[in-house]
Amino acid sequence: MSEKVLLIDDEKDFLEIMAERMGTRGMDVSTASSAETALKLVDTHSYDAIVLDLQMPNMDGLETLRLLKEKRPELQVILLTGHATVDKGIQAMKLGAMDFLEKPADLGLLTERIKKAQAQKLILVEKKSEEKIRKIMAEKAW
Amino acid sequence: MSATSDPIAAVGLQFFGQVAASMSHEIKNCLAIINENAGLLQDLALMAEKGRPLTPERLKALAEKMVGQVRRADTIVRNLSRFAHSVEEPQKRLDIGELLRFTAELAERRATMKGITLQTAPDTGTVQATSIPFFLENLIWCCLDLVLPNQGHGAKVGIRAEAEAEATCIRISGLKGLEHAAAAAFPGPRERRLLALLEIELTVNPAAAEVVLSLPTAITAAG
Repeated sequence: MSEKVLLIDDEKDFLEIMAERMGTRGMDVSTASSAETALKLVDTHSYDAIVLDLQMPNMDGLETLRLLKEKRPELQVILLTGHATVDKGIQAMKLGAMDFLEKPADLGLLTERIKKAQAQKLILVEKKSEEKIRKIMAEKAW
Repeated sequence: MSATSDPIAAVGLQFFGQVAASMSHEIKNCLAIINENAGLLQDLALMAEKGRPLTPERLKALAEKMVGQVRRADTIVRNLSRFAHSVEEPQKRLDIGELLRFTAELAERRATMKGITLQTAPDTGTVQATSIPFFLENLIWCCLDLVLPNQGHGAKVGIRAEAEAEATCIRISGLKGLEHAAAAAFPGPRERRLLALLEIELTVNPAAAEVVLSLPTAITAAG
């Protein structure tokens, strides 16, 4: 099953080329060059993984991460940064990021993390479904 | 060196660090794009080996993108080098308009991150003053640091130099929220050290929506 990925970065050249490379690896890739566009896309589409640049105009990556997780707690977000520090990494994990990679990122490694994100999301969605079913059965106990 | 033993050097070092960090981030972005373009070339070569046709136009387009990013990174590194060398420069006669354009380039990324455009005047070479370039860049940076957070997405901030009778003025204009700046005890200790060193008078004018730096034509203290 191909992974559905949303790439978020203000560098359009980077977005274009990453989307093409990931597409040739069988991924279904959407792109957003701003946090605002990304937040709208997440309202109407479901993604296995989101790859998010930490430093973007207007709304930075950490704030975007917080809002994304608020909308869809099951979202698996991988942060990309030009300057990975322990501090930022910890902040990102506390906000619910799945992973934190430094640019330029190795595409093989990123692909591996995206596959992991898809698996993780499936587990969460399954868990949620199970809970729903359990609730329905409890409510309609015959 | 510490903030107490050499306060002006501490201010300068902080400025240097902020600029270097901003530029290194931009360079990383260029490298990331070049890296991915190189990776795509490898992908296309592999596909060509498996029989998928590869057009010269595609290769040319990729090469142009890489050249574009190399040029972009080269400009950033050239600016960083000029900035680094400006630390060594003593007091000297400066084309203030040209210094403002350079400082705006250094601050461009910070402004862009807030959705703000910095606008400088075209080159005329007519507005000159004697000052210490690194610390004058530092002072302008501090002023931008103060005003940029209050401008909002889409704002245009003007930075220009004007020659007046007894002084040269640097005007940072088109500014919102200056009442907060005035109330926020600006200039703070950092800015006051720079103002004293450069013998500059600072005026925050909320009514005119501008910050004005009045430079003497030459500073009297040894540089």
